[in-house]
Formats: sequence, structure tokens, C-alpha cells
Amino acid sequence: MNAARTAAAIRAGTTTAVAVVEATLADIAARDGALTCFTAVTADRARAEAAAVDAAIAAGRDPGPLAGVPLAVKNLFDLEGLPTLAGSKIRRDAAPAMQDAFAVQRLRAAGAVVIGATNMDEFAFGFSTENAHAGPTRNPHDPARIAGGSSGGSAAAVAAGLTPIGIGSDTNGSIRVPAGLCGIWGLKPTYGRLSRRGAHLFAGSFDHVGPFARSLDDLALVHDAMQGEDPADPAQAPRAIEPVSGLRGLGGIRFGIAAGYFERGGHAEALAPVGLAAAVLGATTRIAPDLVAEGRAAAMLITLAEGANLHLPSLRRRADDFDPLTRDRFLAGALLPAHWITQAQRVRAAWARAASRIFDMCDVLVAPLLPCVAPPIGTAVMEVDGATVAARPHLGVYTQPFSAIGLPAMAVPLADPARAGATLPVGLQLVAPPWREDLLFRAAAALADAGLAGCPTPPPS
Amino acid sequence: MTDEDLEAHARATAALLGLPIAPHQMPGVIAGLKVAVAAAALIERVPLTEAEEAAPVFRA
Repeated sequence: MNAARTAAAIRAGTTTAVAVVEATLADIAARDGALTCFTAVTADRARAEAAAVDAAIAAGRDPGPLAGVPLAVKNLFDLEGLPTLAGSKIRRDAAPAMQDAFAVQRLRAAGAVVIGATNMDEFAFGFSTENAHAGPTRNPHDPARIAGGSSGGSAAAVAAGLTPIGIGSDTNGSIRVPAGLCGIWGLKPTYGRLSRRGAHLFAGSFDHVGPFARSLDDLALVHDAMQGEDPADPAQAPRAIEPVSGLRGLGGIRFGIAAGYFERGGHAEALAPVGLAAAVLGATTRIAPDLVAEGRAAAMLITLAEGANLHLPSLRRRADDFDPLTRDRFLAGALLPAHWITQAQRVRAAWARAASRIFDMCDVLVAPLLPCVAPPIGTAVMEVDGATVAARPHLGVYTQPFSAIGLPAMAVPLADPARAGATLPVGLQLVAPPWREDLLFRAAAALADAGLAGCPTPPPS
Repeated sequence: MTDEDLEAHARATAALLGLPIAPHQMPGVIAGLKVAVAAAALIERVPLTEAEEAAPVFRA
């Protein structure tokens, strides 16, 4: 059941939050051993929060629009009383968090129940959630394949139906990549929209937080609940809450089709959803922005440098306690000439100016999401355009340029992958100007209403 | 840029930072530096004027 219907049933008294939580805990106990979505299940906490929701309803109070809805939380958000591992071994002996992250506080205030912390690439540095310490998160559509990352545990939990909603972070694509590979909805809002307080940093220049869901309405519900002013987050922009729930209608929206860079580097089945969505939306204007590859290169260098800087104390003392998939990249990131990083930040600004010209020609850009379907676990290289490339970093080829300049972008799943010639989930990306998440939700609603967008059901597990 | 050049850079810069790099880590570090060199080549070719500022802006 989706979040909105679950909350409605709990508020109407046809079920209770405690019953929903008990069923969720039993489902996780039965099925997560084969998927490894969760690295900690917060059963006691979930039971107490659910009981509080039921008590509020019994007392005639409104527990909020997410009343009793189980929530999967990427384990880089602080959860009071737990060490925030961020996918690492190094933080296993960290002090327990003193309070929940701001995003978790907001969702709790809306009635959501924290069911557990989810698996991820170590310190969010990856697109595959092949975590050496916890094991890989497996894709609910094919357990031999990756779920994507870095927020892979949250995405797979939602795709598998273990929880209706989850939250993650997106620095270069870490919400949109796993959403796409698992066939669910994911939103990376505008940089500075949502407070990151209590969400461990990776590369602060690009770090965003955002929601996952199996329905567009739920995605909006969670995003609306996460909004709120937080003076303690230095990256948050002063911005009123701008709800997106219930938005419908395409009146006046101009659509563009991402061309040039975005037509290269991907398999046909992964690129096909762009054309299918363009047909539904009536998009015919092809737009090939300048400086996309350069903007992505800038993002890679800044990420390397900021990530290495953040973790340098641990790299100096105990580098071999890092995941082998992150360790040497972090070490290399510590060794980059300063000129490259400053040049990268200036190129990033130039790419942002070039990207702003996209929106002289359209209001929403329809772009590819991923270059391929979910690769088998352990895949190191892949073939694209007749060349062999490193598979894991290439998963971010279409997402990284947009997070680098903070544009709001949504991962839209194709309801029936066969329409793109695929047998595993595929999707597309909608991208809007800063602060125009409303346009993404309007466009996505049209795609869902037309039957093109939606979450394919994974086989029983 | 050869692997030997990249290893020499890694050793010199790591020493400057007080960052130990063990022999079994060096091949991965060199691979990581190659990715960075390729990315740097892309950003170096962007013509920038002296008036073009870096992206982050500090607001007092």
C-alpha cells in the first residue's frame, strides 16, 4: 500500500500504526536477508513511535499526513541513539547521534515512523551500494544485480515494498541512480531547498537530500513534509515552503529534449524512455547545451577533493579500514593540484550559465536518467558506443551534470520497461530551473496519467 | 603522463600532507589520478576570462 492510503487508513481507524509497523517488521525479517536494504532495524523505536501515533488519534489529535507510515532512512542521516555509519566500518565506534537529522525530525512531525537505517556506498562515494562491510544491496527486480547507489538501501527497500517511502542523499546522482535502477520515483530538489543538518556530508558543494516513493503523490507528500526553514544549515537558501502535492496540468509548460551529450554514452533501451516521454508531453525542441562534459568533469574533481578533505584524518590513520571501492579514490583526491579545483569551480559556474540558457528555450528538459539497466553485482566495466568504460562511475553520466549546478531533477520510472525494449527498470530524468520543482511534478503527473510513468512490480521475493 | 610520473607526484604530495600510502594502495591511487587527469584535461580547455568567478559565493 502506498503512504497516502496507509496514513488515511490509520487516521480513519480501519487499521492502526502499531499493526502497520508490526507487519513491516515481519516483512523485513522475512525478506531483507536476501536484499540487504537495512543495516539497522529500529524496531523498538518504530513500535514506540507507532504507539504514539495511535494514541494521538485516540485522543482526537491529528498525527499528520504521514501518520504511521514506515520510513526507510539512509544511514547517513542521524538517528538519535544510533551511530551514523554512513556505510563505513570506521564510524562503527562513533558516538550515537544526539538527535535526529532535520529531515527525519520533519518527517516524524508529519507522523512517519522510522523503521530502520539503510545500506549505502561508503561515505556516499559510489553509484552501486556494493558495500564491502555490509554486503551489496540487491536489486528487487533481479537479486544478482546492483540496486544502484549511493542511496541503494533506501531505494531497494521502497522498490521491494518493504516501506512505501524512504529518504536518501544525492551528490552526483545518488538518489536518481538507484531510483532509476530499481524502478521507483526519486527527487533531487534544488540545491539549498532542504536542510542537510544531521546528514553527513560527502562533497558539500553538491550534497542534497530528498525522497523516494512508489507513487508520485507519495513523493510529493514526503518532499512537502521535508521542507522547512533551518537556520542551522548554512547551505539552505531563505525560501518559503512551496508545496507540490496535488499539482496537475501542463498549461503553458514548454518542453525540451536533451540532445548532444545526452544522446551519447548509453544503451538504446536506457535512452528510449526520453523519446516516449517527449511524445506524451508534445516535446519537439531538441536542445544540446554547451559545457556538459566539462561541467561533469568539474563535479568529479570537486567531489574527489572535498571528499578527501573531509576524510583525511581517517585516511592518515587507518586507510585500510575504508571500503576497497572508496579508499584509493579518496587517497587520490587528497593529491590534486589546487589549480584544478579552483578551475573546476569556475568551470562549474560557466556550466551553470550555459545551462540557464536551456531554460530560455523550454521550462522542463526531458533527459536520460541512466546509461544502462542495473548491471550484475561486481561489474567493473561496460561497453558504450563501442568503447569500454569503467561501469560504476559511468552510471552517473547523465545525473552528475545537473547536481553539479543544483538544478531540481526527478527520476521518473517507466511503468512498463518493455515499451523501451527492456526487461529491467528504465526511466528518464525531468530537469527544471532552480526552485521550480512544481514544474517537475506537473510534468510527471502527465506522464503518470498517460500510463507511461509508474513503478513496475518486482517479482515476489 | 606515465604511471611512474603519477606515482612520483603521489609520493611527493602525500609526503607534504603527512599521508601514508602503502604499496598495495598505490595502483588504485594511480588509477584514481588518471581519472582526475582526464577530467582536468576537459576543464583546462574551457576558455575563462579573468572576470569569471568560482561557483561558491560567500555571504557575510
